[in-house]
Order: sequence, then structure tokens, then C-alpha cells
Amino acid sequence: MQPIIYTIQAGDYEAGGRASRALKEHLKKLGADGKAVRRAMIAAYEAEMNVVIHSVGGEMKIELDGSELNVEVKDSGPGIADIDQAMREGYSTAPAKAREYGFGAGMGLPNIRRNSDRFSIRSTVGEGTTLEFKVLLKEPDLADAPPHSIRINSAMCRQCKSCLRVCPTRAIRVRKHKPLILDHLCIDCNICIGECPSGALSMESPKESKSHAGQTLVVSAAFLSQFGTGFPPAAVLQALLALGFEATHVLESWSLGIQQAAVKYARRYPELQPVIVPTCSAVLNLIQLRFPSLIPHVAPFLTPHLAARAMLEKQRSVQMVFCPSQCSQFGERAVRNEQTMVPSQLRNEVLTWLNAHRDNQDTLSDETPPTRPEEILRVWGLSHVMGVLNEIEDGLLSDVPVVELLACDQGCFGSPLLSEDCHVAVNRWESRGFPIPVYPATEQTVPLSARAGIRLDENMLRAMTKLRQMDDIRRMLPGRDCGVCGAPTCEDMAEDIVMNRAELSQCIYLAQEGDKEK
Amino acid sequence: MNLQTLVECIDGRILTHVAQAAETRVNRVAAGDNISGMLEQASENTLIVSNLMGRSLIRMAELMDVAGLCAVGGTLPESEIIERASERGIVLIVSPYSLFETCGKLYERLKSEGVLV
Repeated sequence: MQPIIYTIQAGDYEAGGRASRALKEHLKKLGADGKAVRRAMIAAYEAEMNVVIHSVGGEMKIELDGSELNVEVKDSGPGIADIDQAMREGYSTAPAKAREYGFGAGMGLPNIRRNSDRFSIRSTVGEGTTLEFKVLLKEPDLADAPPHSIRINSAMCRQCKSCLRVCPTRAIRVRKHKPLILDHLCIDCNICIGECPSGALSMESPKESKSHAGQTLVVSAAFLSQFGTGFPPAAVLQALLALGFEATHVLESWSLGIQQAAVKYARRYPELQPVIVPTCSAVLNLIQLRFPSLIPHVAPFLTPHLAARAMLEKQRSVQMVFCPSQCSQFGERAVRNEQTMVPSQLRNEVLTWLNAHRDNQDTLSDETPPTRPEEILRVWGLSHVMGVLNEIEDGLLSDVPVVELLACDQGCFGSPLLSEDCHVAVNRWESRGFPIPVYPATEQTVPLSARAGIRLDENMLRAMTKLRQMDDIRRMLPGRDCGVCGAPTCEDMAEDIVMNRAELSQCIYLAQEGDKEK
Repeated sequence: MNLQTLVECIDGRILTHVAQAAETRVNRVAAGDNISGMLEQASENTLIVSNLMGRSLIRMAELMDVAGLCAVGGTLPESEIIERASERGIVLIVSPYSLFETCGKLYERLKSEGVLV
């Protein structure tokens, strides 16, 4: 939908609220949920009245799509000298006239922040103020949202079926000449993206950010170590700031805090050992899907991206941008609603800048990044991760206090979305990186829950019937796991047939036998 | 409980949309003289009691779909305000009691009915 712009007259207390009124009509036409409309109205009306009361006039720009409302309220002066003070409840500079009308209680900005899902404000004295907020029109519902952020471009698929075999949860099928992801099984680990030779699988195109001014970037150390010997991490950081980002945070600041917190947690609850560090969201997805009995072993902290969001959200006027190095990170509900940049896109911008500014390289630091606690056993690669999870499930790993399980080699350093070899990148970060702060871990507010992905039917009796059928069909299939039918194994094919995702005739061996009999 | 019954307990007069009042359910009352505070409280089951009977209050009622607006102290709102409320489907009420007394009576009533949210 095209953005709609409403002009807001300064000092017109009588007409104030017209833009909000119009916005309400739009939301109703869209059928937005009542609670969302209510929040949008509070935020919009407060923002509109701010322009009426305090400024020389401005406008409200509304952008609506099916799932969210973005509002930008901009005025042309006089601007706010001290935003921190303005954000404080009870602080107001409203004139007496505004107070007569019931405004000026100093609640406006806090009210907008409370009633929006994203809020930022920028102001320059003498130029004006820009306030932006976002309201999600649907309650983020984990049940019906696709759990993954892998984009499929069927036209590019050569049907090589590499993805079929590599998927750790066997969630991919290649049928009707294109890959298909079974949402209920996908853990968003993006191994298939790394394996796909044709580019048919890639990361879902995130909401792109246009200009970097005023944005705070959260980026992984792995990304900072992508630029070859000539450009150490500190130079990349410098480039990012030169590109206009107001501030940058390294994701590892949060990872380290979570690792330290997990070590403490393991000491406090020895009966839960080995404690699993909640670093990699793909691994958490895997645990929820395949190892729900191990959920109590996961230290109850937010993953690094969610912790970053929780911390930055508390700061006023921060417009966050994430550069996830993994699909599952992008798929994390909270991050998905933020602005994100795919690593390749950001990499191009950084490279252009670095090449143009080859000379100023006085950025080498003598100190190296802080190291992680020693008692953590780190395991990467999903086949190893699954092996270790099986061991924990069987009670064979109680001599290890803390484990950190990572989908990609060397953690995010081995992400398929990055190009530098993971071992080289780790070395570059550890030897030539720079010190970063360690941010405390954030406690989880909602505990992890099991994912009912692999159940054949909600009704247990029906599920048992299906299981029997599956078994019968599996015995009819040749057991060669050839993948020609589009399922990775004969067992998966049997399940697909029972669940009406495929037909028996799609098995070429059975089809051939049928021909012979004729 | 429905707005009409609630109005009876404050000996109030419904100025606009009388029929609507009988169908509107109220489980909360918000009173005040600052818009921000009332905005936060407002919902379609909230009766707003205020001595601030101006256009901005009408606007707020309209945006938040409140159950009704109640003026206090027996003073009728200006005719322009009544007209606006009537145009925009807002139930406008006037209570003969002061803000304090009106709220006291409403609170007692809602509490005894056990519907207070």
C-alpha cells in the first residue's frame, strides 16, 4: 500500500486528531484486531497532539501492510533539546492553553512507547523532530507462522536433491521440480542454503533499511572478520560507523554474558548438568522439535539476538538494525520484526568504503577480545550436536557441566551466509579483534516449549493407525533411500504417503514392478 | 453491567444515543482531567468521567470507542459538544454530582455487581 500523508496544523486544538481518526478508518477497513487498533490510536493521537501543541506544524505518514502499521510523525521545529528529559513521565513543556484542553501531563512520549512495538525519536533543535513507531496488527502467533526464514526460488532449482540429504530433520522434499520445506520439521539451520549449488534456497529477504543514519547496528564478530588480512575487525567497525550507523554492537557481547550466566547457573543447579547454553537458535529449535525432554537443561536466558533487542529496546530513540549470520536468528520472532540486513548486502557496502579509504588504518588494537569461560564444551555441526543431545538424553554426559551446541562450524563463523573460511575468520577475530564489553544475560520470560511437529495426528488413536499404515507402506518400499521420489528416505516417503503429501506411484521401483506385471 | 443501569445509580441524564446505552456493557470507569491518562485507561467497556468536556475529549472518545462520556456537576456540555457526540455515536451523560461523588457511586455499584475490571 502507498504511504498516506496527513498534514497536521500547529496550535489547532479543535481539529487535532483528524489524522488519527483517518488512520482508524484504514485500520478498521483492514480488519485489524481491536487491541492493535486501540494501541495504534493511543500512540497516533499522542503523537499528533504533540505536533499540534509543541511544533510549528508537521505531518503524519502512514504505511500499512497486512501485518504491521508504520507511522512517521515529523514536524519542522523547534525540536527537542533534551529527549531523555522529554521521555520522562511527568515532564512537560506544554503551554497553559494545552493544559486547559487536558494535555501537557508529560505522559505523551512514554504513552507512545508503551503502546507501540517499535519506537524511535530523533530531534534537532532548530530543525524539528521525527518520531516513528510501529504497531503489529496481529498478535505474533508462533503456532501459525512459518518457523523458518528460508526463501525458495523454484525457477532456479536444478533438482540436484543435495538439500534433501543434508537436512538434519529431513524437512525437505523435492517434488514437482521444486524444493518444498515441511514447516513443521524445519529448524531454520540453513544447512540447505549452504549446500544448494543453484541458489534456489536463500535467506528470506528481510526488511531492508534505507539509510543508516541514527541506526544502531548489531553485528556478529564473524561478520567483522570477513574482510581479509588487509582489513582487521576494527577497520570494519570504523567503516560501519563511517557508513552512517550511529552505534554498533558486537553480538558476542551478549553471547559472552550468556555463557558466563550459564556457567553460574550450572554451578547453582548441579542436577541439571550438563546445562545447555542458549546461544544458537537453530539448536534451540532442534531441541524443541526432537529433544523436548532436554528443555529443562537449557539455561533460562534469552538468545544473544533477543537479549540485544531487550537491552536496546530500553534505550530511547534507538532504531535497531540486525545483521543476522543465520536464518534462525532472523527467524527469531523478535528480530524478524526489526530491520535487518543480509550479510552480503552489508558486506558490499563495507567493502566499497574500505577500498575507497585504504589509507587510514591506524585501528589496530593491542588488546584482544575477551575469552569465553573455559568449562564450556563447545560442539558444532548438527550431526555432532544431535549425537551429543542423544547422549544427554541417555544420561551419559553428566560429567560435563556446560555445553554450547552450535549449528554451524565454529558457531556463526561457519554460517553459509558468510564467505570467509570459518577457521581463518575465528583466528582473525581472536588475534586481531578488539575488546568488547560483556553484557549481562537477560532472563527468559516465556519458557521454551516443545514443538508438536512430528506428531502424525492430534488424536492418539488415529496417530497409531497412521503409524501402522506407515509401517506397512515402508515394507512395500525398496528401502534404498534413493531420493528419486523427492523424499530423503523410504521411511519419510511412507510418512508422506500416510499424510497425503505423496502417492505410492511416485516410487520409481514400485512403478517399474507395476509395469512388469502388466 | 449495562450503561443505562449504571447511569440510573448516579441519577444521570443520557443526552445522546439513549438506545445504545442500554446495549453497552461497562466494566470500568476512568476519571480524570488529563487526556493521556484517560487514553491509557479507555476501552470500549470504559465509561469516562471528566470535567473536561471539550472537543479533545470527544475526539478521544471517538478514537478509543469508549462506552460513554460523563460530564459532572450537573452542567450541560455546550450544545456544539452534544451535537458532535451525537454525530459520532458517542453516548453523552451528565451527572448531577461532583466528579468525586459520581466516581464514588459508580465504583460502589460496579464493585457490588462484581464486574469491575
